[in-house]
Amino acid sequence: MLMDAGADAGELGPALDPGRKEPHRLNSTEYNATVRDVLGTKRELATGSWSEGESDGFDNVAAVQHVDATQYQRYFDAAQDLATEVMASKELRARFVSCALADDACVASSIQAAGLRLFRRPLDADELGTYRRVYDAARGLGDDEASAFSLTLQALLSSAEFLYRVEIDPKPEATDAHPLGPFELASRLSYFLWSSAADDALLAAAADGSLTRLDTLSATVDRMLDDPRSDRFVSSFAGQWLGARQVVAHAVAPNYDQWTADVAQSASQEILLYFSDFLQSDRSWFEFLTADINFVDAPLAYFYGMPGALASDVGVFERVEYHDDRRKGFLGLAGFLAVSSFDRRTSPSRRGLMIAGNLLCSAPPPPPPDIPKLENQAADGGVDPATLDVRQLLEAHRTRADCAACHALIDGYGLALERYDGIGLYRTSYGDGSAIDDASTLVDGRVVQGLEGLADVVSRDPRLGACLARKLLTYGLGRTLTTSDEPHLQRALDAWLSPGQVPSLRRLIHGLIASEAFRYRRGGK
Amino acid sequence: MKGRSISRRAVLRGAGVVLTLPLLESLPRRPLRAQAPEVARRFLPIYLPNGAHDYWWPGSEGRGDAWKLSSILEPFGDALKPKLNVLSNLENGSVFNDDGSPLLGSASHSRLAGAWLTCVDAQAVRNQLGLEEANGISVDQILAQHPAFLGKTPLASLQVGLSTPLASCDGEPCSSSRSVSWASRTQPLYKLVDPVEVLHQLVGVTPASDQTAAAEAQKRLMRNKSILDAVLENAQRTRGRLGTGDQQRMDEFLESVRAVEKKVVDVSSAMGGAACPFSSLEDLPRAEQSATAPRQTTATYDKGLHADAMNALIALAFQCDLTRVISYMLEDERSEFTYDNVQERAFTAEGSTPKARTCPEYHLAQHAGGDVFATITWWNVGKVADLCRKLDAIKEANGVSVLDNTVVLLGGCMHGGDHLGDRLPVALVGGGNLGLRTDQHLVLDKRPLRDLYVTLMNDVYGLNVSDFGQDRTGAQSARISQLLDG
Repeated sequence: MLMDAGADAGELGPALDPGRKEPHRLNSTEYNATVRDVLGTKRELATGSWSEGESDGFDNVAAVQHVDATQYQRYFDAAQDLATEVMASKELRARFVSCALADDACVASSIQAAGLRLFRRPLDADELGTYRRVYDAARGLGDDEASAFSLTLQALLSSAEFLYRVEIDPKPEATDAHPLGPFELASRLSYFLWSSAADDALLAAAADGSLTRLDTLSATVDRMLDDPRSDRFVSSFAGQWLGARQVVAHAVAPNYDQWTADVAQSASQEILLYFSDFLQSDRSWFEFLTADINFVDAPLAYFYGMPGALASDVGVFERVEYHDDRRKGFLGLAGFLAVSSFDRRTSPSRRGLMIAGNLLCSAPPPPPPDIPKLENQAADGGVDPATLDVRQLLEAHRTRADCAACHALIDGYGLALERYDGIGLYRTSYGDGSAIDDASTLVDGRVVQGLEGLADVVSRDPRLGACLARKLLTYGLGRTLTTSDEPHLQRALDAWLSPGQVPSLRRLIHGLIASEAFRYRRGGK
Repeated sequence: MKGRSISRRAVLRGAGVVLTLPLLESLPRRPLRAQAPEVARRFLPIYLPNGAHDYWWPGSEGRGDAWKLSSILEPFGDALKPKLNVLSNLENGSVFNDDGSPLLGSASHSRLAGAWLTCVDAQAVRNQLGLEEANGISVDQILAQHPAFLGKTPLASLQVGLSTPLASCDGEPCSSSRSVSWASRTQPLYKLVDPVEVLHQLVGVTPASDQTAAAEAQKRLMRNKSILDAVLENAQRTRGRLGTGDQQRMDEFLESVRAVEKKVVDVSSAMGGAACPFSSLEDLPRAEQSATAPRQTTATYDKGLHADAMNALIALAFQCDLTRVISYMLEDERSEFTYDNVQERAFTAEGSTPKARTCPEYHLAQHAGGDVFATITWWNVGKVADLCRKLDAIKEANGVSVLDNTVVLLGGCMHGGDHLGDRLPVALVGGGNLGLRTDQHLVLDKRPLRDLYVTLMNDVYGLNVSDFGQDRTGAQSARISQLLDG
């Protein structure tokens, strides 16, 4: 790993600006996961209608996680449901209450136990007093001990310190960097890698201070990535970045009747499993577009035209290395190819935009106003756009100078994938029998042919690694990156790409977590 | 539906505990309706995403028989045409450009959407405040926060929408294209998309029907109050440890908690005492399932049903006088929702007839133009016309309809497929009892959108507002006199 084993994080004051962010409200994914891990309840109360802000392609960016009265009401109601459920179950209740509440000391220790897990840090004496008063008020109203503790639990679950991750600056207006407190660091780690609260082991490492040592930190990161809870990192991070979440909701026209709900679900899952394979192995990130592996269950194997024996059940995925399917790497996954298409045909521009924007962090600016209506003629003339030669339409479009500049940055990538239709199936000709040309010219003049040629060129693009680091750090910090983050990124990248070591996804995560941007913060505006 | 208010004495008897003074002070007030009747002036801006097809604009101008409905506005029909006001040539480009040009260099969808009810450039406000998310206060919120509205109804305002997960934010903060209502420069108001959540919002806490229940309700209330006290205490303490920038986040939280506290305590006022036909909302459960289904296809999600449920709730909210300000988004800006529940139609300036296939996704249709775009615009207009008919069918005490006492503003932030911020689609429905001149297609000599808002705020709602929004050309805002009667 990159870190100097045993070095103390606080030893050398950082020369670089680590940045800062405001109190960070849990998003719906984090709320559900936190509740499940801490309370042991199974219901997912945060639904799609809960308030969510999105920025920089992710739903965990602190700056846009606002709250209003309606959202607070949902928190308040959910807290009541959850507290009631916990107290109704002997097993769940025992997580916090392991003594007789009739005993005064037991009330205090139980509140402390619940507070530690819910606030992800110990409660101080004032806080203990605040929540103790809720218990006493309920008893005063004639509630029994269990109901009174239920109310206390509800108060904790309704509190800002549960709903937000709050990081405190010793001197709030001072702009010099300081290391995060150990519990704050534990929360950064747990919400980055688990989308959830710190567990007992993490809280213990924070309590004894060992977590801030780089060797412990590194071992902790490995433990967390080996834990099944890291699946949440995969589904949140890759689910958004690589479009897996969109695949499930992607609507297609009736002519694509092979794209069933099962296939969409499986194709989405395949993206996550494919990404996860890189997280859990020592594979180089630069094989992301060339690794010839697929993850298929029965519907997806059938969809791909793979031999049936490869997968025999719905929702049970097998890792297969099947070399006769004319596809490999991320760009060959049906989920990617479908979600980067329109509902009734491919869109080389959209595919190119996803490659340039998501994978290389080089999206061209959005289209200017008054863009020509690409399919106007077709739609008005009653011609099915699926039968049109997309390349010709795009070429005409690019005769406009203001369109050409940006389309040149993206179309070349997408045109090389024309042998895969709007749902990612391989095709040898267009619907009307006309031939497909999958050779294309990239903006730097290089000519690539087909998926294989394209994957080869993009794999050697240095932006492929830099972009991954940028996306990981944005997601990991939950904030928009600024120019002051560039040196942190560069340092982590240099170390990651140093000769003699495999540039694996996991090593990059280690490097970013060890960076000062992750372990420090500062006060000020 | 009567006896919603809890008698204070009954509560005290039933609760059997000593109440503290602050709680007594926050017990529900008498419903406002007991006071002298006044005209309830309402505002309902309805957001049409992605601009409108050219067949939106009527071919003829003038008042009464001089103008005819266009083929896209045809769903309003002869019955509502006398209550309609189509305004052509409003623009919002002067918010962005010194020369008033309607052209936006980038992110035109989200930037124009952000300015729809605020008439300011959100990017500029963000830069000025150094924040990642900001905008101007929106016209509906100026009304909601003004004494002419504030405190007159249980809910100051309501934000609803039919939006689905499929909309791109153009690289801007998504609040620009997904929230048209802004309570302040830093607070976008999220809208409710789930009809059942809207219903819960409207009903508030279930009112107690007898004394025993009232006592139970009061106990419940005290428990809730004790929780909220702890929450407020905890957040105040946290706030004290934060720097000024971070404190804003806690202020927003504290404000939200206090709003819930007020609602929890105002047990009986939520119904307003009116005859509210809540039992008429049979379709809601079905709509709820569909609105939040992760995968939205015609099999699991019916946008028509969703719209019908939302229409019913909006009508109910106005009928029961639960709020007088509602903003309603038919979809998010740059929506990519696939309208495969809508049969495409062949359009001319005069009318339209059904075609064989269904509509594609919205944003694609906007750029494809032609029948697919016209059809989606027409379909949205149809749902708004349904709502207006509902509002017109509800008669108020003074003999006129709810619609006559409401200004429904149906409009979009851009012209159409050209992404330009001028020649905006704008139509007002209703407001005939509020001083609006109706039954006209008014072709203006290029006026900024904010002039419309200034006219409404001053001449319809009785505020004294001299200026609103931003005009980079330096022009002063002015009333649009042709909108007003007399």
